[in-house]
Formats: sequence, structure tokens, C-alpha cells
Amino acid sequence: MTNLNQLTLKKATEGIKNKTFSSFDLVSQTRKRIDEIDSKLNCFLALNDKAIIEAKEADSLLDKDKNNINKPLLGVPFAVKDVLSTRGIKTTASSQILNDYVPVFDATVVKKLKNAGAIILGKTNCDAFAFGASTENSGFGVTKNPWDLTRVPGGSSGGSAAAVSADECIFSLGTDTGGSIRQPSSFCSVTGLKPTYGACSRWGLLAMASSFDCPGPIAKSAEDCEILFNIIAGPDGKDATASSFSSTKTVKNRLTLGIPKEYFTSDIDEEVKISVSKAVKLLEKNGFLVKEVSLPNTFLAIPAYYILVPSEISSNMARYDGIRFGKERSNFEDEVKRRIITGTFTLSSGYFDQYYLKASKVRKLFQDDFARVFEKVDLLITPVTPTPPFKIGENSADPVKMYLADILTSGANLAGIPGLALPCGFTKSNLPIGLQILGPHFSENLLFFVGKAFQELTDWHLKKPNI
Amino acid sequence: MNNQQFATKIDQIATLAKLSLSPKEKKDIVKQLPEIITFVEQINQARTKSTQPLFSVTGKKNVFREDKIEPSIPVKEALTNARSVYKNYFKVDAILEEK
Repeated sequence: MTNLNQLTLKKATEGIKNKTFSSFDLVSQTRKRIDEIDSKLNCFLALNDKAIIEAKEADSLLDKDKNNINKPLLGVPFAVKDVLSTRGIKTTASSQILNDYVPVFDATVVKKLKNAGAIILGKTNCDAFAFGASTENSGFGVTKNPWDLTRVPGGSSGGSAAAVSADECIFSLGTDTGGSIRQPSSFCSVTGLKPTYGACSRWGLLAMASSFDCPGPIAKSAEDCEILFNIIAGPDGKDATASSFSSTKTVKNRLTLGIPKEYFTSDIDEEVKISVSKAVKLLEKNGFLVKEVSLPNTFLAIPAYYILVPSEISSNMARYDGIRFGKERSNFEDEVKRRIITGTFTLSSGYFDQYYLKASKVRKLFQDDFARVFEKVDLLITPVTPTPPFKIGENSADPVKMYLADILTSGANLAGIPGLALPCGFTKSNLPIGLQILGPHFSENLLFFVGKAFQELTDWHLKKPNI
Repeated sequence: MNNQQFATKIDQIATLAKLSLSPKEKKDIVKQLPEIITFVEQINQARTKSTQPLFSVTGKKNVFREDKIEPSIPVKEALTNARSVYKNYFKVDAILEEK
């Protein structure tokens, strides 16, 4: 029999609603799983000590009113990336500068899930302030990849992705500024959505780069991500960039999938290319049209990103003054200091036009490239990452090499478009490979449509790590 | 810029960013910042003469709301994470010196 903690969100909510099992059973088994294996993985930085009580409350609520339709996620436990504020639960952003910070309010996306009845299990490790692609920049130690404990889980939302992969929760929240939901989802063989910029409010998200940051779900299937996205999306009156979400795209009979040739160059690992190409062929065989397209500025994504993002970071990090909350600035981790210095440099007098302004123009080129391509095709299919998960320590001495881990994902953040990462295979040495679906602004429904179709045809997303 | 100029520049930047760097951190950054800058300068290959900069990816401009008072965090709660508190205020270091 499947252990309850292994269930998808869909199955977990059905089971609780039909009283096949209780929220108490589900939360207890999930907590047991954390107690058993998290010392090997280091996904969790803090646990919600009230989770069991909240599960009992959910069960008694259900006893009172079986058709409690206002709480679609009633009694389901989830994990929250530690850059999202949680009322009464320590929120460190995985940085020593906030090692004693307990927020007095919830991030909007957290609050929406709590209002829907979901129960916080705990907070997950990430790169400090989400600056990184491996969790190696965390001030609280690296998270291990459940598929191979000598490798990174990706990042920055590495703890959130690894926790879903290892069935330490039913789903989790991550944030994506340059690939931080999609890249760890791919490395851990789970499904993750980076929503359109502004689809989900950033209120309560400890800001990294405000014109890039997107909170989003990491789950066990595209169907689960869709359920979660529909709950967390929408404006809240607290984030001026949050949009009233209305999907403008209709699912046509035959969707056309574009294959950007710049995402399949010789820099991309051969096994990754083979798995993604097989996935494309499968979709083609099942009614999707496939067309090669070109995004000529792809090679400029990371250079432009590493001007714009550190610039915004250097400004956002000014709030950590050690006065209202948190410790002194000397507690920042190395990568945090590195990015503040880089960003202060690119914004400093005499360099603004050369770096920030020029990169903002390149950002426009990116958006134009995507807009042009989306006139010809409905969606794009690409690999998520250039390589399978790398070894702990392999890239950590060379910041530029580490930055390249986001080469296939950061374009979506520059243009503000949504992206869905989902499992599409394994290397010969059993390391996960991921597929990325990109679409125009507010086309999440199309991403889910193709994602669900792919997961009906394949069972990659059902494979579990042996841990 | 040569290494010495970079080192001086980094001292200025660290002061601006209110960061104190240890000798080891400074040594690392003096080495790494030029590498990062050389890498990002690839953007100079892009032709952007007639391109407008993009700051708002979804095209949103000003967003207004009604100017009315809504419930907010109580003062006591807002002060719970403060380093030092005086009555209902955050206590900060003096920034102006007496003559």
C-alpha cells in the first residue's frame, strides 16, 4: 500500500474529504517521514510544532460539515520555502542574518493556502535569500539530492523540491527569480510552476529582485500544480504589480509547440537532449504540431540577468539594517555580499548607462524575441537545465560557472512569461532530467494542458527516489 | 581597470553598501568581480540603438487604491523583532553628532 505521505495533492484531498483517512493520519505520517529521513537530506530548517493540532482541528471541522466546500485543501500538509514569511514560524531566508527572525504576518501565497485549509509542516532550506542554484549558499548547510546524496538538489528552492521528491510533504511553495522553482524541480524529478510575473502576489516574499520574483508551487504532478496555482494566484491589494488573473488563451484543437534551436546546442548535455527530444516526439505522435523556432538572443540571458538582478538585490538588501529585525550586515553569506557589491557597482555613478540601462534594453530584446515566436507557435518546449544534477562542491568556487546553471530558465524571468518544469527521464546513472514548457504571459492553462497530457502518456513523475 | 583600481573601487562600493569585508572576502571579490564584469559585458554585443529599456514586464504602470485606513500590524507586534526599543519606537544609533 502507498504510504499517505506519498500521495498526490489530488488523492490526499479526496481521501480526507471521503474520510478514507484523516488529516491527523496524513500529517502524522508525513511528520514521521521527516523525522526518519531529513537528517540525511537537510530539507527543513524549522518545523511547525502545531501541525498535529491543526490536523485534528481540520478533522473536527470536517466532522461538523462534510461538504466544507470553501476549504479545497483542508488538512493537507505542505512545506514553505524559507524566503516566504510565515506568522509565528521562524523565517530566516536561509541566512544567518535572520537566524532569530519570527514574522508577525503571513505572505499572501501562504495565507491563501492556509485559508484553503492546508497545514504548514515547516520551512525549507534554500540558497541564502534565494541567491544561487544549488542550496550551497545557504547559511545552514547544503540540502542533498534525494536521488544521489552526493549531488545538489538544485536551487534556490532546493529544500522545497527535495522535500516533495522524498515525500516529506504533499506539495511545497518555492520562488523563481531566474529558475529557482524549475531548476530544482528538474534536479529532483518533481513538477514546478514559475507563474507569469505578477500572477501571484509577492507580499511577504523576502525580496530578491522585485521585477523578477515569482512565488509558485512545486508538486507531484501538473494537475496538482494547476489546483495550487488557481488558489494562490490573484491580486491582494498589497503588491502593485500583482495582476487580476484572467487567462486569455484558449486551448485549441491542435496546439503548436516550438523547439528553439538555441536551447539544444553543443553546450547542453547529450543525455538531456536525447530525453527532451524523445518527449517532443511523443507529444508529436499524440496530436501536437512541432516546429523549430529561433530565439537569437538566448546567449545574452545570463549576462543581462547578472546585471539586472544584482542591481535590484543591492537596493532590496538595504533594508537589512539590524534595527527593526535581524542581525548586523556582517552576518551576510559570501554570495549575498558578492551580489550586493556587483549590484552596487553596476548602479554606481558613471556605470548606470553602461550596465543597468543597457541590460534593460537587452531585456526588451528578449521580450520581443518571445513575442515574435509566440505569433508562430503556442508554446515552447526546451530542457530545464543544461546538465543533470551536479556534485556538491563542483561549481561552488566559480560563480560564473554556477550562474550558467540557469541559462535555459532565466529568459522566462527576463520576459515575465510562465514556465512549467516536469520530469521527462533519467540518465544512465539514474539522475533526473526535466522538460520545460514556456508560454506567453498568462497562458498557464495551456502549460497545464500540455503538462497533464504528457503525464498521462508517461510515468516519469511517478518514479520515487530510493531513500 | 587594473587590480589596484578595482581594489580601491571595491572599498568605495563596500562603504556605499554598508558592508565590512574581511581581508579574505576582499581578496576573493577583487578576483571575482572583474571576472563577473567581463562576463556580463557580453551584452555589448546586442544592438539596442533603437530599443527602449524594459522595466515593467507586464506593461503595468501606476496602480492606485482608495486612500483609506485599513487594519495594520499592532505596534507591539511590529516591534517584536527589534534590536532595541524605547516606548513605542525602534531605538537607533545617533546619526548626527552634537557640536
